[in-house]
Amino acid sequence: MNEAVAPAGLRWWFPSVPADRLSMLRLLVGLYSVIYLAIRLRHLMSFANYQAVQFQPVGPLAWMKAPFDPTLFRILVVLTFATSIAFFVGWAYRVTAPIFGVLLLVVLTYANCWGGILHSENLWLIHVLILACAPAAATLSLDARSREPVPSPHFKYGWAIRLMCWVCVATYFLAGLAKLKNGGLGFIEGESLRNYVALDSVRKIELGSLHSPISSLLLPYASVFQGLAMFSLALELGAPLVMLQEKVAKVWAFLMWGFHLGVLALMAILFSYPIAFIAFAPFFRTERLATWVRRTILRVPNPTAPAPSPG
Amino acid sequence: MTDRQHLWFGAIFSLVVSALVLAPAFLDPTEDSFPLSTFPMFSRAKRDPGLIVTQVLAVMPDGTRKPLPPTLSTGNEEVIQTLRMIRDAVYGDRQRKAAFCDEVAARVRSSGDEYWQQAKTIEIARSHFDSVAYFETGPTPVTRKALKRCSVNP
Repeated sequence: MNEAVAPAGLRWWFPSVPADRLSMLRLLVGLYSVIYLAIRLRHLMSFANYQAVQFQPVGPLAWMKAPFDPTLFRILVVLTFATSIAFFVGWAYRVTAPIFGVLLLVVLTYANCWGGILHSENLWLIHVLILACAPAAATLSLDARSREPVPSPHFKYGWAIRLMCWVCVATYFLAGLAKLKNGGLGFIEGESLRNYVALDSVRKIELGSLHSPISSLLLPYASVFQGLAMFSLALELGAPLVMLQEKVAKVWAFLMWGFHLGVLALMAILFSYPIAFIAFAPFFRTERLATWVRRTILRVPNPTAPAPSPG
Repeated sequence: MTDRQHLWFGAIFSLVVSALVLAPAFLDPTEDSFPLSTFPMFSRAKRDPGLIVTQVLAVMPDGTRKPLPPTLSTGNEEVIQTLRMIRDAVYGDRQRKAAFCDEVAARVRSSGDEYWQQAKTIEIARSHFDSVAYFETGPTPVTRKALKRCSVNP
């Protein structure tokens, strides 16, 4: 079979890539989804019991006048978890993946309708929605078991990956832009960051939550926070530029990962999706992992490997 | 789908998603929503390290006050949402404040956690801290005002 290449002029957004690259991203995002939802199942279920007076609908649920019936919401959470497994294994993908995407959108939005919007689930949700609308189960899935051979590289697998990368850098750019709009260039002086770290730590301690012991060691040193503020703002505002160069994008992904490790160490704020590095996986050639998955986990021969010559 | 249809679908889908994700950049930066967000966390200039927090404290048998964990104060694991939920409950009407205190006491009683079950009283308080001095000189509040007290075992 021949590689399918997009018309000239569109090839940057529609790169011809192996089906395994997109399928591997589905596996990674799907695995994260299953584990995250399993861990958070009880927490998500708890929103069924909240009082209507606390309900402050946002986003796609802003139209709601009152909370869901508790039983209905519990059913939605269970269905979300069930369809996340179907998404992960790639079963009846064309039907189950969009259903999972919509259910996840509803459940996570509902969980943000009780005062205080979290920012740790946005990118994961958008990545799920993109994968759910792309041919991400062409290989390494239950749907692909009977399909032989592995499809040739095609641009239909490439645009979704490009979009996942773009959405990733866009969210960081927006975070940087918000700092400029709300606080101006004064953010790079580091005083605001230092105060935020101190305020966040005290707030966590005084609300009985976990806090980072490292912050109390660093807070006396103002220059540390100036360096951190400049570094983080440069990474965020410069994010869209990394789309132009694959190698730069990979370096940026590692730096951003380091930034999140720093946030975890200093503020005990866990952004689990980037910390797990899955947020940045679209910047890498994940088909190499697919070969390992087939050999080690699925224990099937790599179908793209050349057949051994007779004799 | 044909290759041509893949191109059209990929192009339109990409444009729509990109427009939606970037749309918050043109909104008021103080507004926030989900899943499309301006990502305003830690973005405002913060020159003052002062912090006023409305908190739920357990008064232990020796008289010391310990902040209750979010799962006991509101039943929520998330500290940010706990903060808002306490505020909403306390600064609503008087009946709601009293009911909230009793709810916390009931959660502590039924928690099965022996440490917290020793608590004599639940105290909802508004405390003012200097958050930098907190780590330099000690965690004593600058001021603290009790807003509501209720017994754990009435």
